[in-house]
Amino acid sequence: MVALSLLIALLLYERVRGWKAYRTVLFLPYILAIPIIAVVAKQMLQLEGPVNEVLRWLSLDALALDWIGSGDVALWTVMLLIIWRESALGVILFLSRLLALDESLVEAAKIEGANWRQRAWHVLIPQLRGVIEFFAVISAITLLTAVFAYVYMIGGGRGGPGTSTMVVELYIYNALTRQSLPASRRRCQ
Amino acid sequence: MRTHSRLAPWLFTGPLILLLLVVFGQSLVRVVEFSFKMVRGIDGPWIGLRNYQLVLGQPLFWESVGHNLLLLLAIP
Repeated sequence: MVALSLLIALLLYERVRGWKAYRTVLFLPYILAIPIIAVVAKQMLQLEGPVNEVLRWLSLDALALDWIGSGDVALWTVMLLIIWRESALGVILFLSRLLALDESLVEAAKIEGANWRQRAWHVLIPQLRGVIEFFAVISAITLLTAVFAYVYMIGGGRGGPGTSTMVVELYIYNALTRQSLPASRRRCQ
Repeated sequence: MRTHSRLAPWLFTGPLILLLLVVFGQSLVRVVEFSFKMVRGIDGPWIGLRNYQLVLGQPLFWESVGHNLLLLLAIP
């Protein structure tokens, strides 16, 4: 998540043609509600859904997995979805910090003959350190405490195929609403 | 003047600290208290650590924790 959004932010910082439009498009997933994203993703990633159709059309049959229906892959699909959505916040955070930086440092590096990779690694990323730390902490909090909506929608309210996408939040929710802890029900009788 | 300026930050932040203590601190203490009681409405009898034994003894709980930790891989 951090690396991906950092890369995108650095690419946008190069002022590629239409970077403002890209910025808007990249931030779009973040303002959509998570359940909507999850429902749409669930439709797209069906076994005969659009994503697998495209993969088969590209003759990547080995990649046309049962993204949501198979217990081994489901959690990774959820993770991909979360990365896709939460990276948007990172891109905006990094880009805003980049645009607030002093441009003369980049110009100086350019005059010294530093290429794009050197400029990014030695000039820009050290100055982004605080924002990167902030985003990493925010992501950790998100992934520990705010993945309920994804797994609830994708896993059909029960933690996916079997228990393959069960997370702590969903466990607590199930324990509270359905009294699904078998031993607690026995004790309450 | 010296003591006044030492007191000033506490006077400014005091109301908020009090509010946070009441809103968050109190409910935090109540949650810990509930965790030692039987799940029966709002006030069950004290049962000590049985709730913890129940939850920590379930493989499903540990699987959930494992999935949460696996999701942390998405950070880098």
